[in-house]
Amino acid sequence: MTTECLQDANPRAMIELERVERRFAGNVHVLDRISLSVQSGEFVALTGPSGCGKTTLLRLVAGLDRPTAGRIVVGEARVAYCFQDARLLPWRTLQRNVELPLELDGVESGERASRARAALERVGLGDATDRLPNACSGGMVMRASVARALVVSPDLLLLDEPFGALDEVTREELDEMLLRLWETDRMTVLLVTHSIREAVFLSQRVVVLGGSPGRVIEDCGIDLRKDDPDLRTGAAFNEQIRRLQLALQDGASTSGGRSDRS
Amino acid sequence: MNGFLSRVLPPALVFLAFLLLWSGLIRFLDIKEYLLPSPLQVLEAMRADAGLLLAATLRTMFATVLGFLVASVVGVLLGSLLGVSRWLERGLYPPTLLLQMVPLIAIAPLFVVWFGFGMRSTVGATVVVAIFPVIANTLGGIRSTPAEHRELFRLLGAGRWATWWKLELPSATPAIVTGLRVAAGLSVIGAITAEFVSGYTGDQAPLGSLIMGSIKTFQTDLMFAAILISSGVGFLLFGIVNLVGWLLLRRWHGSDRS
Repeated sequence: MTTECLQDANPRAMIELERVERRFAGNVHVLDRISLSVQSGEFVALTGPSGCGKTTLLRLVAGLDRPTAGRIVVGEARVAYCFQDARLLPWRTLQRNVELPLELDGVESGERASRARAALERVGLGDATDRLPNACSGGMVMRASVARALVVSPDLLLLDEPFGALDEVTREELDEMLLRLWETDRMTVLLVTHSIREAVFLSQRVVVLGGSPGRVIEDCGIDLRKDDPDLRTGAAFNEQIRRLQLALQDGASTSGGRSDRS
Repeated sequence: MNGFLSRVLPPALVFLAFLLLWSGLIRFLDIKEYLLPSPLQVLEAMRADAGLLLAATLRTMFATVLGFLVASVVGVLLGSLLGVSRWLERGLYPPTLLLQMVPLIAIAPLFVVWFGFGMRSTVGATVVVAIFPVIANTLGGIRSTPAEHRELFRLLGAGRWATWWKLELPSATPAIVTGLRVAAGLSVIGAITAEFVSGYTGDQAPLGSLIMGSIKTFQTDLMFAAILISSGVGFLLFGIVNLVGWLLLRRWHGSDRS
C-alpha cells in the first residue's frame, strides 16, 4: 500500500457512521454497511461513480433522510448544507437570501444584515448584494449559496457537488475560494464530488465509494502542500489522482461478485 | 413617445370606429331612441343625471372594492388553509367549489333576507362571487412550491408559520395575482348583479338599481350611461390590480423583463 489508510476510531470524531445501510422502496439497495469516521476540523471528500450513493450518504448525515439500518452520530455542531443547485429564493436579493438562515433563527435585523454582508464579502460578492438571483451568473449564484451556508458560522459544512454544473474555469476559482475559507475557519467539511481532481485538490482525505450497493472501496489521506500555487500541475498531485482512479476501477470490477452476498 | 403612440392609437381608432358605426346604424336604420340611444344621447343623459350617476357610481365602487378586498384576504387565507394538508383540502374543497357553482342571481335574494336591502347584501354577494378564483389559485400556488425549496426550509429548521410566510406565500404570489385579476372582474359583475336585487331605488340607488329602474321608465339612455360607467369601474379595478400585480411580480423576472 502506498497510500496511508485511516482505520482507527477517533475520540474527536465529528461524524461517526456504523454499518449504515439504506434501501429504497422496491428493494433498491443503495448503501451497504458503510462505516466511516470524520474528525473535527477534517476536510473529507466523498467520491465515486454516479449512482454509488454519495449524495444519499450526505443526506443521511444531514438528517434529510434516515438509514434503513446502522447508526449515525453527528457531534454537537452547527450544520450547514450546500445543495447541487443553489436553491436561492428568486424573489429575494442575494443579501436577503443569505440572511434567511439567520431570519429563521430569530437573529435581530441589524446583526443579520451585517453578518450576511460579511459572508457575501468573503465569497467575493460584496458589490452584488442587492442583485436578484435571476440577474446573476451561475458562478455568482453558487457563491451566494456558499455564503448562505457560511453565515451561520457552521462547525460542519456538507457540500453536495456544489460546483458540478459550472464551467471548468469558474469551478477551479470556486474550489480555491473554498480551500481558503476552510484554511481560515477550519470547520469540518464533507464534500461530495464526482471529480477526483477536485477531491484531491481540496481535501485532506478522500473516501471512494463504489459498487452497487455502494461500499467504501478506498479511504486514504492526501498529503499535499495546499499553499503551493502550482499544486494542480505538480507530479505528486497527478500521481495521487492516478492512484485513486485505479482504486475506483478495481472497486468497479469486483463489486458485482461481492454485492451478491447481501 | 413613439412606443406610447403605437400602444394608444390602435385601441383609440377602434373605439372611434365603433362610435361612428353606432351613430351611423341609428341614423340609417332609423332606430328608436328607447331601443338604442346614440352616443351623443348617452352623453347627454350622463350630463343631465350627473349627480345621480356619480352617487350611484361611488356606491357601486365602494361595494365592489370592499367585496374584492374581503374576497382577496379571506380567499388567500382559506387557500392557504387548504394547502396545509391533503385532508383539509379533500374536506374543504367541495364546499368551496359550491361557492363557484351556485348562481349568484339565485342567492342574492337570500342575502337580502339575511342582511336587508343595501350595501351589506351587495358586499356579501360580491365576496361569494369573487372568492373562488382567489382560493383556487392560492391553493394551486402553494401546492406548486418547489420541493427543493421546502427541503431547504426543513434543513434550516423553519416552522410551519415561517414556511408559510417566507416560502409558500411568496412562491404562490404569481398564481395569487392571476386569481386576483379574475376576482377583480367578477367583483364588478357580482356587485352590479346583486344590486339588481338588493339595491335601494331613488336617490340611494347604486348602478345596478339604476339599470333595473330605467327599464320601467324606458330611460334607455340612462341605462346605457349606467352600463358604460359599470364597465369603467371594472376597467379601473382591473387596471389597479394589474399594476399592483406588476409591482409584486417585478422581482420574479429580473432577467427576462422585456
